Amino acid sequence: MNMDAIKDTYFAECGDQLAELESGLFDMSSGDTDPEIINSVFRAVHSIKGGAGAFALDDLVNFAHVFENALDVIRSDNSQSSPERIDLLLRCADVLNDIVTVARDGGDKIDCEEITKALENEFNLEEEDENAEEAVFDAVPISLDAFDFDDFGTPPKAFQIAFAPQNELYLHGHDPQRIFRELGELGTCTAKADTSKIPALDGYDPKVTNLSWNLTLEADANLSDVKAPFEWVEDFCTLEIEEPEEAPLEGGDDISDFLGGLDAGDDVDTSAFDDGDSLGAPVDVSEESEEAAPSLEVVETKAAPPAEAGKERQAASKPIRVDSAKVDRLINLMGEMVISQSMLTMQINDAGFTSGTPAGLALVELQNLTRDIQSSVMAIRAQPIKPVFMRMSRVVREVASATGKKANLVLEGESTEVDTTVIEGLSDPLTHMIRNSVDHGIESAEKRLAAGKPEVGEIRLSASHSSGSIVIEIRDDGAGINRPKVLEIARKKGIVSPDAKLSDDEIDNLIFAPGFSTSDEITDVSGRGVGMDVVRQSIQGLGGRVLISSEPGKGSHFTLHLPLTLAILDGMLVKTSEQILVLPVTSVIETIMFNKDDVFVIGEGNRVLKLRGQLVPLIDIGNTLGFSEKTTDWDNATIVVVESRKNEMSALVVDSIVGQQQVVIKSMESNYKRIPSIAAATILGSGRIALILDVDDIVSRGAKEITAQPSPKLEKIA
Amino acid sequence: MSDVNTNHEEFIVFRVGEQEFCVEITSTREIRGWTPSTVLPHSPDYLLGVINLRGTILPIVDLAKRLGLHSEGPTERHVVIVVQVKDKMVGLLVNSVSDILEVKAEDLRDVPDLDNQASAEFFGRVVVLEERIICEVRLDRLVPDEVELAA
Repeated sequence: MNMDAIKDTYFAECGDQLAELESGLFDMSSGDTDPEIINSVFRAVHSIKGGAGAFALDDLVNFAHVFENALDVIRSDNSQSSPERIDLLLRCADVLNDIVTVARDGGDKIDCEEITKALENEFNLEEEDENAEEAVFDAVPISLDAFDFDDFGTPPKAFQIAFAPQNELYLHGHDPQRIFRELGELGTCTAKADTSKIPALDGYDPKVTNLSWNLTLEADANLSDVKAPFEWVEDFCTLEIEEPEEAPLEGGDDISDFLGGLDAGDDVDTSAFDDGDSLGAPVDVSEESEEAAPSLEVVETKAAPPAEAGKERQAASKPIRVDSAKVDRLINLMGEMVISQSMLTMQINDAGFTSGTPAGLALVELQNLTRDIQSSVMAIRAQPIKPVFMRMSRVVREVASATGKKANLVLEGESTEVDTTVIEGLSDPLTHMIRNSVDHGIESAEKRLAAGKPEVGEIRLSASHSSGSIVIEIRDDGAGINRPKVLEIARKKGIVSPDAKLSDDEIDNLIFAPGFSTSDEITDVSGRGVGMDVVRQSIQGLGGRVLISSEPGKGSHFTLHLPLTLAILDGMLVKTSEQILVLPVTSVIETIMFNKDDVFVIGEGNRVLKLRGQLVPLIDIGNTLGFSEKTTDWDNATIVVVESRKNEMSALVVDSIVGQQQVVIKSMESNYKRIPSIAAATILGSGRIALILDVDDIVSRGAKEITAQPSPKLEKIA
Repeated sequence: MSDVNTNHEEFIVFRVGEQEFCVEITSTREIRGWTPSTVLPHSPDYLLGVINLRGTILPIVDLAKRLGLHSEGPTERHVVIVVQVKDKMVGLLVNSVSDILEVKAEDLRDVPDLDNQASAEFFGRVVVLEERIICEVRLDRLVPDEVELAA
């Protein structure tokens, strides 16, 4: 593994840590005071800092260090937490994210001076920070005499610490000096190196550590304080801390005795650490000693989460990092397998093996297996949508501060699992929509108060599963869409003709028109006029739909419907005009035989089907798609009733239903272009291509586009 | 063997009706026989539909129709030249592939001004040899542009 590869791994892990950081801070900002959360936040920053040190990313180390110190204030005393402070920490997380990005991709150095200052002021860090900077790096032993006995009611205690690092400690980029320095901040620390294990030169292996230290720490601290600096390395060293007998609390009389004890401790004599002096051998250290063994594995596999993450993470199942291209390949092969299987099914059926025969049974078994494998493969790609949602909280913060508005993001259903390709494609459009919601949707604080709303606007972002698709909703409690203004702008820009009469719904949808921008002036945030039409295109590119509804004064509500997966679909195969077409089963309501008594003609030859009292537009698919000139032989036709995502129904007239099977979705766009009424294509068992119908598009075009003349038979009805 | 000379370009020569055309060999992916295609709705008449090329959807252009020549329609004897145009692949239905030519730079000319609009649109350069003249087909003009924005 070369340096670049290690660095790549580091940045990949940084991504995880940043996500954890942000998610933890977000939980904290919503009032969660679980100490484990602040610990995980702290760990995240610490891990980023540790790795950054190894790659000499100084900016990152410096900022992470201040950040870490600030977090430590809250970590050690939760009452120090306040909404303002957490808000500041969230902004720091954003800056940290930027610094990491710059470190990875290059670019302008992030100016973090201001926020560092803010952080230091808010958390009174300055003193501590100076200490850290003034500390002498290469002096061992370290002796920091920032200690004044008079300041303390209780006398200091002298801890005896035997510390023998293992190779792994250095491999993980830790530095004993730093640990000693941290100990020095607790009190007076004296370190003595035990060089007795260093072999003669001829047997010397430079890659093996032979040094150990005996430390004496005089400090008014408890055991956990003393252990803290070792927190990240305890798996990689032999550590023994001997706590002094409880010193007498009254008076300072015994100090001299105590100091006498210290002198003894300064000796190289290690008899106090009975079995702790054999270097490298894992002796019973503390309750974490069992963890030492698994930690070795971590180093070897390099696939486990960072060891610093603590023992809880190690106990959980180990995630592996896999290049998403490999998973994509698996998905593609899976798709080919589904095709081969349906070819095989066809052959076996044609050969006369029915489902009762051994061949038929084996085939059923194979189909079940395929289905299982398929859902397992799909599960690999399913990821919680949370990371994308977390990014949105940053967007809200940034836009709110840029526009001087106040807005809060509320997340719901962020653990909803979504196919990774969908997640990747979702980030940009979602960012845009959230920006718009804050910039255009939420009013200024004064306006909100005047309208009798809470000062802080609320944007609710939710994800859920609903009948084979993922629904993402963005709801704001802002002013809603200003319809007169939208209409005025659309007319001015020639998007609609001046005399067009539009329904409220149609006006709302104008914001998706290319080149439309409601903002009077172009702002930094949004309003370049490339907004919502791009959003709609990207969502459509994912096979989804955007719906909008808005109520003046109450807010706007965007709904995104996205497919669960982009790869495979349960399809109903129908035949019309000698063409086989696929309908997504999820949109099929029912199939019925054609009965002319139920068909009526309305207006200029628009036929409707009376279905249990409801009138549903009839669409002759073969004719609408231009496959046949003349109308289908209606008497023998079958009607498939379908429903769009807007809950509008249409009745499609087809020649016959061929069957139902899973089909692999193949993009038409990759080699051609998008075709109206066609969602995608698939390959049938015969190797032929069948088109997958875009039910929503067909339904919405619906009655408008039926141009076929009514057949004489039907005219007399009505 | 052949000397690697950058002054040479290689072309695949094929027959459409009675005429010969060519395309750069570097944009050619494969040559295969004709298989029945699936017709696409709302598509131009020169687009014969799509076929399955080992799992990808490949649109087929009837080159004769596209170039405004008389088209006999696809038969078993027709062949499909699969070419790459930018990041897309498309199949060209032609009568037959006749030759592979190595052409010297000095034998390549710009297409002369023609009265025929279609010729000006579809032809790139002209290969001028002693006994024949072969027009290079401009692949980027054959397939309709990206997304024609749906209303």
